Amino acid sequence: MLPAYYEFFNPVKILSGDKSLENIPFELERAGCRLPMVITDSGVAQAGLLDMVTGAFKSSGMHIGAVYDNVPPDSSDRAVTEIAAIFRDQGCDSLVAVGGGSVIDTAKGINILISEGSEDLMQFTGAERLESPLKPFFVIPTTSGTGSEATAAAVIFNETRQIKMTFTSCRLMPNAAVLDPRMTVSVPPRITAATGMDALSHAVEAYTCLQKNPLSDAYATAGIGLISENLLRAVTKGRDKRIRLAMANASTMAGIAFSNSMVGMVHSLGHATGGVAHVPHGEAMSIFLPAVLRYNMDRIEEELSELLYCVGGEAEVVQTSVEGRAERTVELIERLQEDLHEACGLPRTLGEAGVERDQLESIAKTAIDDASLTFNPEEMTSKDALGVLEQVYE
Amino acid sequence: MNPSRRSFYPGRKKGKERCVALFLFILGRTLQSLSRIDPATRNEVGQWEEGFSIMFRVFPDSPKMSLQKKDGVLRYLGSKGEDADLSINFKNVDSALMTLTPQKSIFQAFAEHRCIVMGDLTVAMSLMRCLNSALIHLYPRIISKRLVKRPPPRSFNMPLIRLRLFLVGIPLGK
Repeated sequence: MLPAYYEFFNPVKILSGDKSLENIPFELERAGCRLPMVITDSGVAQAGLLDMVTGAFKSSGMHIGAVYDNVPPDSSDRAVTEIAAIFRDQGCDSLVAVGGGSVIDTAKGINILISEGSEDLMQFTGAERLESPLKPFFVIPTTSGTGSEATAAAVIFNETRQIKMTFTSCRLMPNAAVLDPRMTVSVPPRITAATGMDALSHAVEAYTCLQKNPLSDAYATAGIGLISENLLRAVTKGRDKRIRLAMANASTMAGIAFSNSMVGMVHSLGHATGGVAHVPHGEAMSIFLPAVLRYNMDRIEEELSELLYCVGGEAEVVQTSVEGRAERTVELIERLQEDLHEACGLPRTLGEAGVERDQLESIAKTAIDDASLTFNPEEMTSKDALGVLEQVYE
Repeated sequence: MNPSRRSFYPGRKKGKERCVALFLFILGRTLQSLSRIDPATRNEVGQWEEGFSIMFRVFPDSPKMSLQKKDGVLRYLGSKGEDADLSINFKNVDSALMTLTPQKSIFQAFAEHRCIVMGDLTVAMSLMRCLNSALIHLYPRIISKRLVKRPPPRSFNMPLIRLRLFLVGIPLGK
């Protein structure tokens, strides 16, 4: 059924596949850029991926204005201010982010400061607070999970106030996302698994939460299909570029989907668990996804039944009774979770992820203040959250 | 070639604007009153910084309503103020009318992009819980159960709070 009203926005050009990195100088030039700044983290630089990106500029005639290769693992306002100053000093005119969610969100923060001509990120927190058009911004993801290359949001840690600042604005969307399989073939199995489950949670929540719409559904279902088919293979056969490219596409599709239909309780609990117990986001998503789908079951049974085709294929749909399809979808996600645990040790419970039992109450209290909860189909109080946390503890 | 109509001003939807202003007044007085007499709302507001301000407004210049936390409770300020720490902005008067009258729940209004939040999203979540409480007390259960995701269980206190709200809170602002 169509929603009474919906909006969908995705201006991000997708460059996907073989030698797509080499097209970046052309795209920059088309956007009127002459001196891009490249931003990444030390892990990406050490893995040789930064050299691969700068190598793609050879014979293009374009100069690189500056390279910053030390973005911290959690994007922070201090790093954003520092890098924005370099951008200004070097007279750069565009940004190229090479990395995972942290690097991409840091680049979004830098773009806010530069384009708004400000030194204080805090004044732009919240939704739609950006007044000026941002600088041309290109993203090269090095993990397949966050979907940040296609979303209108950024989360940056405020070191002074010790809070996570959330920014949402259509202006934060990159000009283009470059999905080159060379950038993800060297991702270790456990990170591949965690980021893949992050992408799966984006797509599943996009399909089952309140802001879903026909266009986000199309991206979500396509993403879920690709993840179900390729995630385990990406963990066990990481050097296969076709599998990596499929996961990169799935992650971007999931990003487009959730940027237009938002996520729900899996993310509320995941953000809180990350904040309180420092569990990596993808691992938290993997732990919470099946439990939250069961929690929401009464409200989303129809949607979960529809997802059985994407998760299990035609044979599963034919073999499962109509009444059992929603439950079967959750069971297959749990089976994937188990397979990933066996393949690379991805934690299945909060206990395995190193969370202490006395942290659960604090996680529950934090989770109810997470904005993602707005779009969850079922209500969640801190008592409800604690119930789910206990359930997935061991 | 001449245009079929030259530049003109399409006017205002005055009836709708008045209706929105009335419902914003009721909502403001309700939140003010509940911050004193409803334990759940009092608990939420208690966590906000003293002096924290909230504004509901309709873009671009239709009715608005402000509240501010003073001495631990919310004070209704009417249409005073130009800016606030947290604002809920309806994109147009029709969206505001649909949400406030209440043909749509507040979370449905957000899901349909009828309004946007500016400010700290953590406090916005707390405000959402206060709004849920306001809807539960303002409307009979048959209406409020479609405005909140999960209506609270019936309690002995609720009719008393509602009585005070309608006899004193909304009309007298106390």
